Amino acid sequence: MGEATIRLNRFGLERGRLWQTVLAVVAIVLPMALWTGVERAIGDTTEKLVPGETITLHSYPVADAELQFLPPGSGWSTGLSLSQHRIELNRDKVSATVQVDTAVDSLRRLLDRRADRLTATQPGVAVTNVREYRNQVNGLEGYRADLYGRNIAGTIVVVGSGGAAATVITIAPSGQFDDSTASADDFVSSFVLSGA
Amino acid sequence: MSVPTERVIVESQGAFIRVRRPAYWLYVACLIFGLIGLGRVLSPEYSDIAGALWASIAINAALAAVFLWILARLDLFESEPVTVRAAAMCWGGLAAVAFSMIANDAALVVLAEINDPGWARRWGPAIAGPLNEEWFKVLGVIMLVLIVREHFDRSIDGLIYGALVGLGFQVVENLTYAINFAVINPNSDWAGSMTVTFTRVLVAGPWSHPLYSGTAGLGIAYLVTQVRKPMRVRLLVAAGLFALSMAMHALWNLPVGAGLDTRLTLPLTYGKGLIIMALFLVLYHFAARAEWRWFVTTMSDQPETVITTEDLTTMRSLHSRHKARNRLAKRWGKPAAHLQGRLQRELVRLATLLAREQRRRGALPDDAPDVAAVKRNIAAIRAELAAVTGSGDDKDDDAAPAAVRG
Repeated sequence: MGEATIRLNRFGLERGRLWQTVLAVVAIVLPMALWTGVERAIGDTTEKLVPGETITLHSYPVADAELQFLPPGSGWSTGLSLSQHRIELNRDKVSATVQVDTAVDSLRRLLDRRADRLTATQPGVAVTNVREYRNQVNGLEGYRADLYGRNIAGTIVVVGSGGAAATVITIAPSGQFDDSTASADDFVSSFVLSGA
Repeated sequence: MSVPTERVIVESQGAFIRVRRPAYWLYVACLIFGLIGLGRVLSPEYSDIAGALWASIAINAALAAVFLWILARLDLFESEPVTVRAAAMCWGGLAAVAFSMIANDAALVVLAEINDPGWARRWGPAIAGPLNEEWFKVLGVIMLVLIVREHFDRSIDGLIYGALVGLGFQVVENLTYAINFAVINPNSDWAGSMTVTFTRVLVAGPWSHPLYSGTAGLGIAYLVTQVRKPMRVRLLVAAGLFALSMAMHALWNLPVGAGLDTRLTLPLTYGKGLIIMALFLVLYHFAARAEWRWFVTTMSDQPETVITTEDLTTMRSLHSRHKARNRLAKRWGKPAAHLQGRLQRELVRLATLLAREQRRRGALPDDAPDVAAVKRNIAAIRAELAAVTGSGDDKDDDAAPAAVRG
């Protein structure tokens, strides 16, 4: 075996190689710093919705279903999102998430899956009182459940027709779902669901 | 029909852990960062979709196994150390994916803000993907150069390590897709995860990240190994191949016209893949030809008892090696072909060891215990082969070197 002598620095690392590592650190950090820096430089990407502005969503990955709806009332805003099938709207402390899906076999199963996802990502939230639902305005049918947490309350509604389905989840701090805040019903009332 | 052969392993040969190299610790830190980043993505979903996730892991493991087999065969004259190969895959699967997620997310927001979300959705993957992902993957090859420079002997080593980085990236990227699609599928985790897994494996599988990063890695290895060429040329080649790797990635990510009929979409998609594959194979062809020239040069001093002129010719490619084995199989049966295969493997091993000893420029190469062991193996296999084929070993031990003969 050949032998080689290496010189160590005070940290016990090979001498003369630290600059390479420093360059590597710069090369790793640079693109992330660059993109996130530009992202921050752009500033707040929250967009205020104009009252009466219709929102259109398409199912993903197959864009066979389309949902058009009008957020109830005014004052809603949304963050910049690249998702074509889902949007999260905010007004004060109330949030509403609307999503469209295609090729849905069972609305009840869809409600369970969306509820499971919610409880997995928001520990402490429970889904109760699952029941059948029918919107009085447009006649869309599906299921509805209540959401309860330590500090929050809300509703999850799933409606659909012919394979296309829409989900709306509204959440607000406990006690704030009064007459002045939008309910899931108000969202569903404006839903125009097409496709399969 | 078993020739007892021996294997001498020189301690620390092929080891990846280099605690004295600063870059090694940077590598470790990046892997930890990647693990934490991926853990953050996976943990909220894991309990819900464990079954679908494991099924996707199994399918992607099969994909990885196929690629590993292919890459081992592409490496005609050397088998890279397992630890370094694993390190390359770990960089691709952990560090590069985690860094890319951060950079891509920010880049897509920037693109959406510059234009609009619909445009960013459509063109973002063809812009942000190649820029960020190829950068972080090629950094994996550079990290390997900084940590285990001795395993970069020739350009093809960069191609292999680069492809392994890409393979690690592809497998983990596929898994993140499987998780996302399992979650958003309205009917079941399995339907979502399996649909996307099969689509990605069957449609993108053959011409994905291993090919792009293999191309970029080839350039890095060319830069650090072809020291006789002017630095300007080496830098140009490395930069050119990196640009090509990004172009290949961008081509694959280019959106196929929306609303096109499936009868057009499918050929267009596969057409893009075939172009990428063809580019990669052209590069591989050049790298493999250089490999063979290196093999001939390295083995040219060896006597006929070790390697014959015919061996030098048949070792040129996998195809010519296969033909040589088939020829023996037809004439003398399978045992002879089997022995020929073992002989070919030992010759490859010998060339690698001789090259290592020549680099050290110390004692005579034959003095190294592992070189001597491989030569004994070759002699034993040749004797057995002579017995099987019935041809006496009439070659002179002091026969002229292959180069003189050739």
